[in-house]
Amino acid sequence: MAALSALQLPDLPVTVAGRRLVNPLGMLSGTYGYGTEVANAVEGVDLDKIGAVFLKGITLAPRRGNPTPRIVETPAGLLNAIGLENVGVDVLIEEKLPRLAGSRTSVWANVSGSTMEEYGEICRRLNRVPAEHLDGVELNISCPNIKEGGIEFGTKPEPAAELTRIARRELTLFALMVKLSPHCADIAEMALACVEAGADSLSISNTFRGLAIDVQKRRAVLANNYGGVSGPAIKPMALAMVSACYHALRKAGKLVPLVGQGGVWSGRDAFEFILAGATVVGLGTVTFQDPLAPHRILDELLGYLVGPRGTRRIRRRWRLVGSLLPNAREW
Amino acid sequence: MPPTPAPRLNVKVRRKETDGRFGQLHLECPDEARRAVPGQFVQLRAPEGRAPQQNLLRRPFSIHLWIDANGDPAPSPERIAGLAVYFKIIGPGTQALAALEQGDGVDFLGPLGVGRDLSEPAPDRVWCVGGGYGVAPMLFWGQSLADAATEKHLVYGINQLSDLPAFPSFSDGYFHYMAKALGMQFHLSAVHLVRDLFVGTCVALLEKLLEAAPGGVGRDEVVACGPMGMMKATALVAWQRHLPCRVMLEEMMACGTGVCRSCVCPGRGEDGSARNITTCTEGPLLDAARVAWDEIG
Ligand SMILES: Cc1cc2nc3c(=O)[nH]c(=O)nc-3n(C[C@H](O)[C@H](O)[C@H](O)COP(=O)(O)OP(=O)(O)OC[C@H]3O[C@@H](n4cnc5c(N)ncnc54)[C@H](O)[C@@H]3O)c2cc1C
Ligand SMILES: Cc1cc2nc3c(=O)[nH]c(=O)nc-3n(C[C@H](O)[C@H](O)[C@H](O)COP(=O)(O)O)c2cc1C
Ligand code: FES
Repeated sequence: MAALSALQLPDLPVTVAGRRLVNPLGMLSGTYGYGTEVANAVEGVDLDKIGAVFLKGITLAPRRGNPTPRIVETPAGLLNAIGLENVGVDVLIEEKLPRLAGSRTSVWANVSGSTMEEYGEICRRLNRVPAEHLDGVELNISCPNIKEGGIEFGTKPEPAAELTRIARRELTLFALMVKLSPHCADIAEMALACVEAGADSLSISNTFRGLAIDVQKRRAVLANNYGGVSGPAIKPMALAMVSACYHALRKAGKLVPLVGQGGVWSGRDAFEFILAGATVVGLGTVTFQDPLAPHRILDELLGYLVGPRGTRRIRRRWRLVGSLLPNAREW
Repeated sequence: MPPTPAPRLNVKVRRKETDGRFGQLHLECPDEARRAVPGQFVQLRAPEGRAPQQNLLRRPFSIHLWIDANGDPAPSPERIAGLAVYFKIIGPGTQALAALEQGDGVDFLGPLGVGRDLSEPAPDRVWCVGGGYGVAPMLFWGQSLADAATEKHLVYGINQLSDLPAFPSFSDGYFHYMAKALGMQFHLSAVHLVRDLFVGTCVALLEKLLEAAPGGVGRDEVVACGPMGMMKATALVAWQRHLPCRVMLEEMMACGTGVCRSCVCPGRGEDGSARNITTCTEGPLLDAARVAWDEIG
């Protein structure tokens, strides 16, 4: 880990909604603060070598979030109920976004609200941000940890599409991504609805609702009782959802770049998401264990992308995305 | 505080002590150790634990001591060869750490957080109050004041005698022995009746000691670490006597770098406004007046 220097890593560019990312790895919302903290805290982290950062979910007004405990480790995963603690959209625009302006990483704001109007108002304010401060907006319609966390928009196609249309109307300058919830009847249907309503890209998916119990106290461990599970425990489910959305969108002729995420821990995991249909692979919980994960995983991923006969020529990735071969059944 | 060095997967264990309930590790990390100050912490993870699927993240531990190449408390900064941590064995993370052997590698990130600025003036007398495993950072506090003329007291509170570590090399006198070696006066309290010991909490013992302590020594200071209720009570005792008090907060942590927002504690900003304090980056060491104790149950 320590031997790897981010400086030596080559670029591996991908394009999402016309935005160039230096590589296909993105730091996921809620696990990378407002983008600069980890690079300031730990030596060897280089933001210029990170494809994208999805900033902590913001709301119209600042929020102090849930009481603690807010996290607990569960088998092969992490259960969290932070409750969207955030500085609010105005402080994000005035203080946080300018700090990222000099970096090569692609910057995405992540938006949550309790009403359609709130989502609309946040997007309206973000649309006034200078273009060098922001690339796109990720609509979080899937936060399981606050009562009004937008999750009701994330469980059915009609409200999700309506919300996407509202955001699309406000965001004339920036790319629009919708982050889907795993808690819906058919995620492929959700994906189609959002793309038809104007989403440039989809993020698949958020955490899964979970519960951890302290048997001695006979209480839920988290102050919020329920939380969202992330980490390796959710990887197989997340892969299946990415694959389902990729094939449904492709069949409908509506393919958009997908940000696959859920428990990625290694370059191999990232490659699996690419094979399943992700153009960008998100890293979340892994960075809590390894702040250098974006650099390590890129290095490992490059190992899967070199051409035959050991040439360092990198294969054309658009042939790899979604290139998973079917078994007996078609997709 | 300067940025933390990149994490290392293979910091060597120089020595391990355990009695099955508590553990102590000496870690060979001279560069990290030289940057460390009391109040800061490290995050550790044994690569292959008994339950690796429940040992995903590193666990936070206060820095316990600077150690020299022989495994003794380093007598001077030039002799620092590593760090020691002291921990209570609780669940999968600490069980796996206690199972490590000399020569094994450990996944290490640190030093993290804000601790005591070594250039700040030494107090004339310091009361280091540790409840349970919260005693761990107090030896380091004393060690960092080795060159100062400070009168140093370690006030250590346990529930019962079986809460004392019984490391093979020290029997149950580990903290007593180390405090003496570091020039700290040792005071022990137990909540349940133990012959010859002060009966009550370490906060009650602190109160008694403060009452009996000769005044006029100059500047007194209190520093506390332990369960929230104990730190709250200590802060109150100090406040009533107009003594400056700092606490080391131990909230559940994931990232240790300020991004996950799991470790927050209700508090006040420097301007007095109500806000969450990020204990991993603004703390763990905090002026007790910055914590909103009334909001903590
Ligand atoms: C800044 C800081 C310094 C600490 N210093 C020490 C120390 O010097 N010695 C010591 O014995 N312990 C210390 N702790 C507590 C120690 O981190 C936990 O006991 C340890 O993480 C338990 O892990 P486990 O896997 O063995 O137990 P688990 O089964 O995971 O947890 C059991 C209990 O331990 C506590 N805990 C678990 N994970 C964390 C976490 N990430 N952060 C805080 N608490 C947690 C919780 O109360 C939990 O209910 C410190 C904690 C913090 C935040
Ligand atoms: C502590 C924590 C906070 C999170 N906060 C947000 C958030 O504010 N907005 C959001 O859209 N997703 C949030 N998420 C979900 C992550 O962005 C990501 O979708 C999820 O953790 C799955 O990826 P992982 O397994 O790699 O962590 C959060 C996750 C964690 C662990
Ligand atoms: S532990 Fe993540 S913010 Fe403090």
